[in-house]
Amino acid sequence: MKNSPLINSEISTETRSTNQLMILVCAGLIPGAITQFYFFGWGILINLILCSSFAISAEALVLKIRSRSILATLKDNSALLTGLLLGLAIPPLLPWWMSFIGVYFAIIFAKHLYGGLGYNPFNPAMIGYVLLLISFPLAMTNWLPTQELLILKPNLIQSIELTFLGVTNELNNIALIRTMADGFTMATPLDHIRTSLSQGFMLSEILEPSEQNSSFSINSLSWIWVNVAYLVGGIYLLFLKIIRWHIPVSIIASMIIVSTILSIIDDQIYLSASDHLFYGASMIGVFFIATDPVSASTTQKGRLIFGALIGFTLIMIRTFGSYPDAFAFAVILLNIASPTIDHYFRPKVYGTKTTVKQIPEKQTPVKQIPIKQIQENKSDDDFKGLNNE
Amino acid sequence: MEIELFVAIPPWLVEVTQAIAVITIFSGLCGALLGYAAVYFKVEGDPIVEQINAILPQTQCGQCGHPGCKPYAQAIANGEAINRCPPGGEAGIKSLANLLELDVIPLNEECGEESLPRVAFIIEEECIGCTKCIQACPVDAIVGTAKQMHTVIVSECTGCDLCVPPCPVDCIEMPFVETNLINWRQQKPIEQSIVLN
Amino acid sequence: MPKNFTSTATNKFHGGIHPPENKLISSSRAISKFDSDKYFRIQINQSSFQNIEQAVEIIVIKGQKVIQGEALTTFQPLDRLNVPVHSPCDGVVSDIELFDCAHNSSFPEMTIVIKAEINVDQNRSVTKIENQWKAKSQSSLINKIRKAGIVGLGGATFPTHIKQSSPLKTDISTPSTLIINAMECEPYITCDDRLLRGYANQIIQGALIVSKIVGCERIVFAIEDNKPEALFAVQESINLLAENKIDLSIIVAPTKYPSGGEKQLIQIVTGHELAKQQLPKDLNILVQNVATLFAVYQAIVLNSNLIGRLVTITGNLVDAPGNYWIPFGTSFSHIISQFNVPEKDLKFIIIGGPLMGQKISNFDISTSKKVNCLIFNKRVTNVEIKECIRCGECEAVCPIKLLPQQLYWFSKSEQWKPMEQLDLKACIECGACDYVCPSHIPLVDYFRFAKSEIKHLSSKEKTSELAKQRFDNRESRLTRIKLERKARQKKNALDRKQASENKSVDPDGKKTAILEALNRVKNKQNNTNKINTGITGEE
Repeated sequence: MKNSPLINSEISTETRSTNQLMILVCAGLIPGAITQFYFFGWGILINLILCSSFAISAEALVLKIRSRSILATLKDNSALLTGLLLGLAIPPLLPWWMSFIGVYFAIIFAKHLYGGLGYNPFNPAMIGYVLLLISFPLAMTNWLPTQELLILKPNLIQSIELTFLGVTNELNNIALIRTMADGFTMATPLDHIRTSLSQGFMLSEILEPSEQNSSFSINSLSWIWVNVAYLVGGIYLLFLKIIRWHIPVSIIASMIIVSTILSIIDDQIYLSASDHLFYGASMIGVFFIATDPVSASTTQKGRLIFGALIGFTLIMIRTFGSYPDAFAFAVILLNIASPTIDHYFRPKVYGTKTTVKQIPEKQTPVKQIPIKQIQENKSDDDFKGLNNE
Repeated sequence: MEIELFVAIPPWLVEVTQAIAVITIFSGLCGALLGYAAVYFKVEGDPIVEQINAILPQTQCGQCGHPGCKPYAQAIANGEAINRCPPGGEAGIKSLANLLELDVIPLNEECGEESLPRVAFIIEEECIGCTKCIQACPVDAIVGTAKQMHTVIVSECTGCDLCVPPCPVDCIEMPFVETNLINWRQQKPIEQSIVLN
Repeated sequence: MPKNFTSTATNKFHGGIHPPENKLISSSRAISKFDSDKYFRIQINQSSFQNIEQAVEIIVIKGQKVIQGEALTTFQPLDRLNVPVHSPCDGVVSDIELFDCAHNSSFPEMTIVIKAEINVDQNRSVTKIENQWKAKSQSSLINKIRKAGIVGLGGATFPTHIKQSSPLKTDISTPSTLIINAMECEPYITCDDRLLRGYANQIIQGALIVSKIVGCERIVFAIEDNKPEALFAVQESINLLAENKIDLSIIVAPTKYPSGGEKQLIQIVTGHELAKQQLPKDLNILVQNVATLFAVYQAIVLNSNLIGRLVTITGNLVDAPGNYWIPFGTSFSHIISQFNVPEKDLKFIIIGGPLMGQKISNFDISTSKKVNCLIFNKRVTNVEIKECIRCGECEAVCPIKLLPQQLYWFSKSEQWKPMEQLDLKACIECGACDYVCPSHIPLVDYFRFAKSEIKHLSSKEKTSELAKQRFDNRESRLTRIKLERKARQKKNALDRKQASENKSVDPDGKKTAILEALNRVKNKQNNTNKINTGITGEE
């Protein structure tokens, strides 16, 4: 700080600060959030508000305990981003205390116990999500169907009541809402496909629009729209150079390659690449979760490997694992691996790939050298560092 | 058969003899192998002592209670505490703990305190030329002869303090090494994030 | 000359940044006159690479009258590194003392203070223009350059004569090349640009002199595309050049920081990378800054020593930003008063560019050979330093392809070994990573800290190795003496034993007693004889 003239010269304000980066990522979530709100109702908005306020309060609490400057740190907006991501990932109308547990666990355990922003090895939002998924699997896998399919559409007040009390005067509980007119319980497309496959249906039967599964195709269309909205938000982040292209491109490429290979093997059991890309949490994961710089790989080559492995793991868990969507698991698994990836995929430092003759490196004298020689070598050593104009 | 006449050896004896023979030959082979290994893979000196000695600052000051750094290295290898070297300081204890896979412990205050590097200086007008400091210096960094004034070779002096007590006229001082443009060290930048409320 | 001697650079280096240039502030004003101060404070060491063992020798004394360009210091015959400094004016040496200098350590440096006076009585040699430099030997030219006090004026102040002392060879892949560095990639600085616009002919002359000294095949003039006027001036002067013995070409590179770094410049011009431990001369290349070449021209052709340089004075607090010939030793406070800088707004001055320069808040120091630019800016709102979020922007811009973010972690936790493995040594401290860091972490400061600690540790290792050797030598000497003494004692004991054995032959001691008595008598007789003769001799 004392010696750096850059910080005090005018030009330093030209680059984006961490605070700005975080808020711009939050802004990138807006199209996806609006689309989700449009399709899934007030529950999404309640989730977003709840989770972000929980996140900020959790951050403030921990900062207070750690006796750090609360306002200065809250300004970096990283807690807000964690809250928003978790709020978009959990199902609407989830009981408020579950969001509370998820967010507080994410902020306290996954972030601050490791040292706060910059030190967390895992994406905090995904740790919170996985905790909830493992602890409350039923509540977490029950997504509402799109508004269009609902017979009883909860309004704002009813949604709030459902979130906080679990029941309303008019509607008994969430399970009732989720039950369709035909008595068929709706799930996310990936979940539905998975259940149907396990019941012995072929993909062609499941996916083909027919009278029987008309509700499925309506529901899956809404998911496609949500993913398209996140794709738009992601492209905006890429365009503003807030995230680099390496991770999104490599995840998408590896998802396409792996799922295409599988569907070539058997297109009745394995989903095609386009289905994988536009169902579930694919796009929000690709652009907003996997690209979290703190827990991702940092070298450019490492990021390509990191992304490719996420895509591979994601398809593998979706296809062969026991969870219908697995973006959180794939990201967390690769977060563990990212230091190793960074270690093996360093860029080649300037001067290591020379095209012209190379002088053999001189051994620095350490042992068994007469005293006089050591003193003489001193001046030679200093010489070499100075090839900088 | 002629032999049968003499076979009075009971079968258990044969078995025992066989076992003894096998074990003897086997142990002989093993012994030969070990002997060969001892000769051909002989390690010069004790490598761990050398490694410890490389970390010690070679001040040869004896503050640890040993007559030099090598003996202390030997003692550490035999299980003595690693916190008895004030000139090595905290950094030295850290790297010793790292090498020997021990816990980092604070410096033993009985041995002295970690201080900035010093260098001996002889006030030449007062020196009577008794050569006592020359004999005390562990690294031969004092030149002079009997009844002649002595002086310190600054570049060789380790600042160990050992020449100070023997001087009968107290003409040796231990000033701190002066920082100048050559041995000046860059400061660590201040970490802003650890600013308290 | 062929018409198409100008070409665009095809090679480029990794990373780099495009900071706002802010060059127009100072480049729009032509080189103007600067009113010098009465006092000049000349530091005796102004090159980055000094000989530590053999200090510079001051050859003036307090009260001595000096003339402009007179050498104030000299170097010892065995010393091949130091360069002298010269008096910037006619005057009197008023003081030789320690004064603050522009060094990060803020340690004072030995300084010669000169008070400007008109010395009529001093005989001065009339400066004659030397056009016959081609006839001179290379060593005499190098010697003249050294005696003129020339160091690299791009800001690094590496002694020029050392760079030029090894003649360049030629092989097929790398023809011997003199690269003229006119990149001037740092924001704000325009002194090279202005120098080229005004003195392109002289600079080309200087380049020809240097090319004669090192014996190179071709001269490549490298310039960024943001200086069209300077480029035009150079093209004009090359066209005017009568002889075309040497292959002279211009390479125009796209503006990108830090293209003016020596390694990056070589990469742009030749496409080669310097390996670790390699110097440009290993690739048969010599890189010289335009200001240095101008100084070479002045020294060889005009016979004048280096006493001042073109300095960019810029920033939003200066009333007339531009480039000025400022003699070395001018105090900053004088410059502040000359340019009407409001002192209450001025908290610090930046020496050099904002990326590689130095922030100084002590205005009681004076200019030296490394000061090529002074920026007087109002303090902008302080940016907050946040935690590293590992975004990897620093890696993307690093021209050396290091991992600044990982180096930062290791430097923060003071782990030097992994830093060395990550090639910290290769860092050129260009500050590109500092610039892009969204958390505004002073990365280069951390690297400088690590470098200085590693240097300190290795010197400590060396001294401890020395101490160990001396201790071992002493130990072996002491044991040798001990053994010798033991052997002597043994021998003495043996002798005594033998003697006593001899005694035992004669148990009563009678025989020896008789022998001793006889001997005594004999001795006495001898003595009396001697005394007698002695007396006679005296008579």
